[in-house]
Amino acid sequence: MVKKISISIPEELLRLLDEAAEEEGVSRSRLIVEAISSHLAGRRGRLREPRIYPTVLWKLRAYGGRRLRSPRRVGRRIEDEWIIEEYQGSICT
Amino acid sequence: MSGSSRSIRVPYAHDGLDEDGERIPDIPILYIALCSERGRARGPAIVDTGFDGGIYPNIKVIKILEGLKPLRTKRIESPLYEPIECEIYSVEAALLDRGSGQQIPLGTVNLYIPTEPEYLSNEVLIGREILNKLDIRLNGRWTEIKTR
Repeated sequence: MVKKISISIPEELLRLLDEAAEEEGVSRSRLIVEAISSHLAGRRGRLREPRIYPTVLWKLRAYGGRRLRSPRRVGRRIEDEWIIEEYQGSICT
Repeated sequence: MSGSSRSIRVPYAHDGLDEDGERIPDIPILYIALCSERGRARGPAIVDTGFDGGIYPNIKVIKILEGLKPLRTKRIESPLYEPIECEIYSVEAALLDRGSGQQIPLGTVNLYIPTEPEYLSNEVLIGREILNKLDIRLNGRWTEIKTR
């Protein structure tokens, strides 16, 4: 069953969408459905990874780091570094 | 000093200049060591009397907790943003006297780890849960802790 919805999309993105649809010879709707399906499949895959604690490490791995450089994040201010000893886990990227 | 009391003095960290070329006030810091079942970490922590909790760690410190379950979650107020959800972990902590190399045990302290990556800090903060138990003096140049 197919349902019709109405969405808002930036003009430039719509232009790119139409260009891509024309290049691939598919409809605009078809391309949007494929893009959403692909995104949701990737998201399900990421969320299926076994949860680890602390949650923030799990989220960093699931999403491959911070999605955006947050303006909330405070930069380094102290020159001396932290030293970690006897750490046995894997490195979080 | 008299008897067996002694003190740790840590010079403030310089914070450089702002965009107008004016000097940013120096930062009071302490050196601490943290120990979990997974590892140990030591380094500088900003003395933050505005932080309600114990330790607000950076990502390096968080890694010594990997695989361990938090005691509980708690929302802490941020003066600038919405409440931040944190997972609380318990670790052994000590103050480090870098001059003598000695450690002064702080006992068990709470680490507050935000569950959202955007709230991670690059600096470690030491808050009032710990500071309020210390005899601490800030004079703009040194952070001084007196111990008995």
